[in-house]
Amino acid sequence: MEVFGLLFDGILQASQPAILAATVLGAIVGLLIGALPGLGPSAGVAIMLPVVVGFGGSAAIACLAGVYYGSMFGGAITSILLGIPGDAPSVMTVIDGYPMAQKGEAGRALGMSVFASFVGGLIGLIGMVALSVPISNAALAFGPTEMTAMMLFSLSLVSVLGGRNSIKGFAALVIGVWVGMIGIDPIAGPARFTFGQMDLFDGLDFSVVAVGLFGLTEMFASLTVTIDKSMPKFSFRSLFPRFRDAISSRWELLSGSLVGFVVGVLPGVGATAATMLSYAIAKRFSRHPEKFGTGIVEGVAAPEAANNSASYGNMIPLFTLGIPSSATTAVMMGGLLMIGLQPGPMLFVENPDFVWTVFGSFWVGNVALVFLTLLLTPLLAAVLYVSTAILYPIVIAIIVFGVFAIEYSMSNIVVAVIAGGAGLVLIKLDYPAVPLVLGLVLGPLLERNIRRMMIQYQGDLWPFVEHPISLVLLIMTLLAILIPLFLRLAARQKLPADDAAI
Amino acid sequence: MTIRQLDQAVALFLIGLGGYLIWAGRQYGFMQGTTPGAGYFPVLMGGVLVVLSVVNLGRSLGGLERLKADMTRGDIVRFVGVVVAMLAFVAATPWLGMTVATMLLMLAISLIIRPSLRGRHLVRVGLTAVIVPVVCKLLFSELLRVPIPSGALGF
Repeated sequence: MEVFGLLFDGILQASQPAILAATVLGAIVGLLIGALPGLGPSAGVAIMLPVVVGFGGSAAIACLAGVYYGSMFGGAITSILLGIPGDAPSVMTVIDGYPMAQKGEAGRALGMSVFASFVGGLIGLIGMVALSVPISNAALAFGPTEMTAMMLFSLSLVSVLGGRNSIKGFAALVIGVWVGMIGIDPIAGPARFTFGQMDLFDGLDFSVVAVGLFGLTEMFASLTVTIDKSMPKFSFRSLFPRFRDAISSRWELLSGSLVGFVVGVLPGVGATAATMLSYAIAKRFSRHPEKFGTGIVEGVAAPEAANNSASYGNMIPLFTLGIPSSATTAVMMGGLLMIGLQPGPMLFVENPDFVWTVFGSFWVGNVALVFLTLLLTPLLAAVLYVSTAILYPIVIAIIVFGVFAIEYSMSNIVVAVIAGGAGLVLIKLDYPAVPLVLGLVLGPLLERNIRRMMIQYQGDLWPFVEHPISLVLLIMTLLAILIPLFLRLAARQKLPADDAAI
Repeated sequence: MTIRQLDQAVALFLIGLGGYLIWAGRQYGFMQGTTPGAGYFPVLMGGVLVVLSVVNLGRSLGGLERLKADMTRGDIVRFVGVVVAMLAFVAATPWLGMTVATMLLMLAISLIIRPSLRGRHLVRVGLTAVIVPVVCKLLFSELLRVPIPSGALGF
């Protein structure tokens, strides 16, 4: 109960004009990012990162988080109106949302997506608040050995689950760890991989790499995405959720929210998998499973509740353990580090006001998004038809100003462009971006912890095995790496190569 | 070049990168007695990268990898064009100032993505290319107090 008292204070703090404005700004940007095919939540958070760092403190993180969960609200717009998912977590909404729009029920589907997003967000927030304090308290008992083992487990899980090819996932992880090593070694002192460039002595700025890897890469990959479908008509009044639909979808809303939250907490799995699982469960336990896919409101309720709930579940490992479990939360961790805060259990001890204000902003943002989405849906639907020839130059202009503003350096723009180009090549070859960015963020921490332990125990790594918690985590890490390998060898699946010219 | 050849080229590049990490790591110092040196992690990561990339290369050569080749020649040309435009923007900013350079960058990117000289499109592109950099300049320099580089024209 004390927790909810702290949350109430946090909501009051988050209602202050500066933080409220930052939350609303993030939510609106998130709605736009979610609605636009070609840009996802990680791109939106990365693009806003250099801009919001100037806000400082709670406002910066409130804005970034607003972009994240706002995109979950916005992704349904294109899914329902055009049958094109605005982002990956909105894929399942297309299955019933678009047929509803084709039957003339676009407003009804959109209204349910807003309501389901709100309910999913509410349940996700309750779960996040309820679990954050016990998890962070338990993590306070973790020493550096346990935290290092936890990081290894998380990184291995993300590498295995983060893409189709776990070998390339691990390779991407190593590339990220290497990029994180660039600069002066904090323990022994020599400059590593700087090639004599003083600009690189402090390493590559994470936000610059993130902007390139997510923002620019996604745009480079979708330069000519155009919408050539006509939009179904809907009235503003039809957007308002119906009580009857809420009652008929109550089980889908609840199951979607719970599934989304649980899956969202897991490293590497993500909101997309949460929506797929929630849809499958809703269909499996429905009294009319044959109707799923034909355009029913329950088919919109389950995935939309799941993706919003998952976004809050996804933030638990970040805030309580200091270990991001997705690309978006990894970028948010970069934002926390840029404003001088180390996420993890000590954040709850040393900066409780900050934590509860940020959590409070999530509640405020979740409510605000109901009204913002209803108000802005017609405008967002119109924006969908703006050509990338107009839209992308605008985004790139914001990016170049934002990246320059980080360190007042034009060379950072070059770094972002190189990261964007490299990112495009990597994603086309199935090297996933999530392990890469986690390697970049966690690699330096992991290296520091391991080397300090070895210094403390005179080159010995046995303490990893002697501490029970770290031993369990190391065993889980090995299983996470070996089980997929054994399964693949057992299946002996040989996939045909694709020789089409690029 | 096929997507499979590109996959193999990248795998070879990463094998080379892994080798470089091992070599550089040994230069930085792998272990000093029982103390891991600055090269400890680079050597480990280099070794892992070499092994993983050899496996990837082997899988690609053995036809075990399925990759979607969904970038057309036009997509690649546009991507390269945008990259060149952004690098030219970086080179031009000290002379033109960031605001003017951004205007030209936006025009260039618009025309690269959609090479159309139709009046209405050009008007939209032109207006956007003028308004957005001016708004960005005001926001960043006035609100966020960022010293935006100005050029020969004074802004």
